[in-house]
Order: sequence, then structure tokens, then C-alpha cells
Amino acid sequence: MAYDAEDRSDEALLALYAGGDPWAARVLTRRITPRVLGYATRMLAGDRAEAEDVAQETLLRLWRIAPDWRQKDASVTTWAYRVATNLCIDRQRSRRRKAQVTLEDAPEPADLSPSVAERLQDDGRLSALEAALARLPDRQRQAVVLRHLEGLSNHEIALVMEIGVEAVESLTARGKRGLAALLSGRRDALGFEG
Amino acid sequence: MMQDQDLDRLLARAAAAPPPASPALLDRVLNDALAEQGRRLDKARKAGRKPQRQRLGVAGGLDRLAEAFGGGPMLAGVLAAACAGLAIGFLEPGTLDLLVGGGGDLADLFPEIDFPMMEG
Repeated sequence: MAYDAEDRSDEALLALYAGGDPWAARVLTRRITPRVLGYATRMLAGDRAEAEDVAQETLLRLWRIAPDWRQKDASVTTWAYRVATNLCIDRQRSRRRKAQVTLEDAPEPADLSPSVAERLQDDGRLSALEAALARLPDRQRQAVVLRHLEGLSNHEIALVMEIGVEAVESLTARGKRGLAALLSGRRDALGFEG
Repeated sequence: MMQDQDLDRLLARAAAAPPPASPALLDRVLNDALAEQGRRLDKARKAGRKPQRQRLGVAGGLDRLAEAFGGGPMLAGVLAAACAGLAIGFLEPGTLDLLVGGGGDLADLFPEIDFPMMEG
């Protein structure tokens, strides 16, 4: 279609999709799927296959609700995060992880040339962060991921988690303290100073 | 304990590198979208009506107004009648005669009847 769909809001695109516009489906797919996938991956402690299922199911529910979508209800992304949250919780409840990812699973930075070593150290830090996130209590992990990795405001997180803004602030602060404590043991190995 | 700024930097770094969505996943999601859309369009066609295209802004308001009047043609008819009423109300009788082709005389609605008051 000729119009510049990339400039339209998620809500406007969803209305176009409901009206039969296939191009709106393409733009929404590219825009929302990676965000839900990233969130679900972190909520499910790095289980990529489960996270992909959650992302696909979340988007499927979005397509189904499209004709009944009312713009005043919520933003599409907030709604998608809420649905993905519920799907992740269902999966977490149905089976507790058999093999917990541990901080020790994160690779050690190798002694190579500076640029390669820096990149590996960067990868190692990210792996350690993911492992530490996986060890946080579910609600703290959810708040930290939504705030610091997905970039939502506290108000948006409150809508997603269906709690008050103060509770969000508390969960985020405790989550960050927990992360810092979990990563402290590997501070030197990961190249953090001080 | 890890420094706050180290953790903030690490979180910012992770935020900048989200897990990428594979082309296969994007294809599956898009296929779901198009299948769902097609299913709904088919259902709407079978029900004998066009799928509702939700438009925004003024166009969306006109859509809802037309729906309230029973469709676009009905709304057009009502608007035409309203315009005609306004014109009749505003135009002078002479101009109206010109428009409707009359001669400006009063119409004799009952030409065969002689009213008693008119008899000498």
C-alpha cells in the first residue's frame, strides 16, 4: 500500500488491519514481535523456544482482538506485554525449569587480542546479566526487564503488572539490588573495577 | 557489591541488544495475521456485508454518523433534504418560483368549488 505505514501508531495500524489491510499486519509484525520476544525470553530465563511460542501466541491474540480494539483502552504494546506476562506465568507455573541457568554458565572472558577480548568480555557480561536476571524472583525480574530493558515508564509497567506505581518502584529497586548482589561475585572476572 | 553505574551500563548495553526475532518467527506471526484477517473477511462476505474498515478522525466520524442513519445513501438523502429545507427557508418567493418554474400566482387548489362567501 502506498501510505507510509511506518509513521503510523500501533493503534492506527491495528484499526487498518481490522479493516482488511495486509500491509498493516506486516508493519505491526515487524514492530511488536521483537519486543514481545525479547521480553518473553528474559521472563523465561533464556528459553528461546518457549519465548517464541509466547510471542506468536501473544500476536495471535492481538490479531483476534483487533476488530474489537478500542483506542482508549490501552496502548497496543502495553496490552501485548500484559498478555505475554500472563502466558509466561502460565508456562513458569506448568513446569519449573529443569536446568537452571547459573552465573557459572556465563563464559569467562578469554585472553585474546584486545578487540576480541573486549567483545568476549562484553558477551560474558551480558550472559552473566541474563543469568542473574533468571535468578531474580519473577515479579522483580519482570519489573527490571520492563523498566531497564524494554524502556517502559513506571506508569506503563503498573498497567502491565496491574499494580500501583509505588509497588513498581519498590520491585524495580529490589530487583536492581538483587542483580548487583548476584553479579558482585563475578565483578573481577567480568572486568568491572572498584 | 557491584557499583550502580556498572549495573546501569550493563542494563543499557543489554537493552541495546535485544534477542533478535528470527525470520521464521516473523513469517509465522505474519501468516497467523493474514490467515486471521482472511477468515474474518470471508465471514463478513458470507454474512453479506463488507468488512468494517475503521477509519480515524473526521472520516471515522462520518462513518459512524452514516451507520447511525442506516448507511451512506440514507445519510446523503437526509443531508440533501436538510439543504433543500434551508434553501426554501432562505430564498425569496420570487426566486423560489424561478427555481420551481412557477409563474408567481397563487395556485387554485379547488378550481371547481365556489365558496359561498364569494357569491354576490
